[in-house]
Amino acid sequence: MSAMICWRSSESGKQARYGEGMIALKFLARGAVGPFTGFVWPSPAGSTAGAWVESPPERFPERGIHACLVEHLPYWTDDELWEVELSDEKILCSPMQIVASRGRLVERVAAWTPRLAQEFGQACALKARDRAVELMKQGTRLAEAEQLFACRSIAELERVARPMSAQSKTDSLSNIAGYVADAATFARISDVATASYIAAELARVTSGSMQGFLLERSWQGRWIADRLRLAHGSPHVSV
Amino acid sequence: MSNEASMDITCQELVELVTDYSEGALSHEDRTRFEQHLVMCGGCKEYLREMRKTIAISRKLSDEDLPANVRDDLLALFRKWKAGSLR
Amino acid sequence: MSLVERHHRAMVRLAGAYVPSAVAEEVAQEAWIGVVKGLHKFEGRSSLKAWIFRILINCAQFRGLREARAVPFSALECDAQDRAVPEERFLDAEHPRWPGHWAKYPEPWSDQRLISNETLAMVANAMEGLPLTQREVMRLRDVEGWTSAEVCEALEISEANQRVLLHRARSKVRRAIEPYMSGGEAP
Repeated sequence: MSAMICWRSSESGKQARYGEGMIALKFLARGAVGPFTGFVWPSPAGSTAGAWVESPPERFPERGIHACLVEHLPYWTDDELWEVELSDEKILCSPMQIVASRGRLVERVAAWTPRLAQEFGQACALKARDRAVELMKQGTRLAEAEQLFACRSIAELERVARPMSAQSKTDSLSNIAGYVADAATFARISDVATASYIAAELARVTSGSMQGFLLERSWQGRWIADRLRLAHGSPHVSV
Repeated sequence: MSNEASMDITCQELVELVTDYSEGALSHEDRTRFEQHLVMCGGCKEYLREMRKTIAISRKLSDEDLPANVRDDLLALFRKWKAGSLR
Repeated sequence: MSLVERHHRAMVRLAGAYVPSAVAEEVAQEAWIGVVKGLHKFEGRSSLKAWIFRILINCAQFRGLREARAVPFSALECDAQDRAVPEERFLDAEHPRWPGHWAKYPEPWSDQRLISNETLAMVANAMEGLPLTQREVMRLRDVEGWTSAEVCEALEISEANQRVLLHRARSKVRRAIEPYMSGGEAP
């Protein structure tokens, strides 16, 4: 989890389209509001980027401008996705985010819609379902595996998985069905941050290590990148 | 099913960390873990909002909002006292 | 002069944490005498406000010694009642997936009640019920709007100590108004 200074924008091959800095991504709550601080970001007007926002140097990285590379996206999903320009000598990179001392909103990523977010949550819940189906087959609980596999909607998945989870508090397969039911519940109400987290937690529990969690998050990051066409040749480069 | 512990903090832990969080006393790593929990927990998001509202309400108990320049004015006053002009 | 008077009220309140309220006014007056007498020693190394309140606390402690030996801010209270949220609001350690997570999310607060006088009175009342040290830290920080550095300096406590006291105080006040704010009847 240790963070380090790992990137100098001036040395990057990928320059921003709008200025000097690096283009990264940032999730915000509705109305371009910072999800934790409540800070209202100055929005771009037409093709003019929003005003620069600067963090006080003595409060870095705590009050820095937090942003995402593609692989960080599934950790921070929210209502709106923005391209943000970071202008800095040094950018702090940690496993789930990058932090700069200056940034400005450049453009809303229009492809991240409530509809796409909802699909993302559903994809995560279905991935959890598939994992559970495999494990149930291995555990010779074929009838339950079949029932889960046959579900045609998230609501149905929730209805089917929930009673399976209630069977036993100590049985690990019942518990796995519980994760599936939980993920389906949150996917159904479009709380995609929670649904995707639960799917990654299921991966951690069934693999027995954090590696499973991280791999699931990577899969989720690729899902989002593919749908937003951010994968290759985009300015949103991985370091 | 062996189990490597989750990186997540629990809600029960979060409610004891809110002040360290809002005072900027958490390390970068702990702050990230705190916010990672907030992202996926509607209950803790609400809890943090409530703590902030509690602080905002208590601020209204002040007799009057002390202007930011109170200290400067008072300092000036004391300089006068020091110089003997108010005796 | 109104500025001095303004400080004076805060000083009387703070003195009340150390001595019976009947003598708090007197202690504050003593402190002002000490401030004027000691002015030549004030070099601006600490903030003036912190310096004045330090003198007040010295006076109040000196006065308070006769009545009680206990010195505030010397130790942290710590017991189950200091928990920010009662244990039973969370899933227990036996929960197979989410131990320590909310059993049920807290209810959102009413915006209307946020600005009502009843709410204000309830907060004031909850603060009155706090242990003295917690109450004074919350009062100075949240009501008077002091910075944490100013509070630490004036009360001679560490940043960490101040945070713990502030946290317990705020948590208890939130807890006290929660039933009303989330739609319950006023007590």
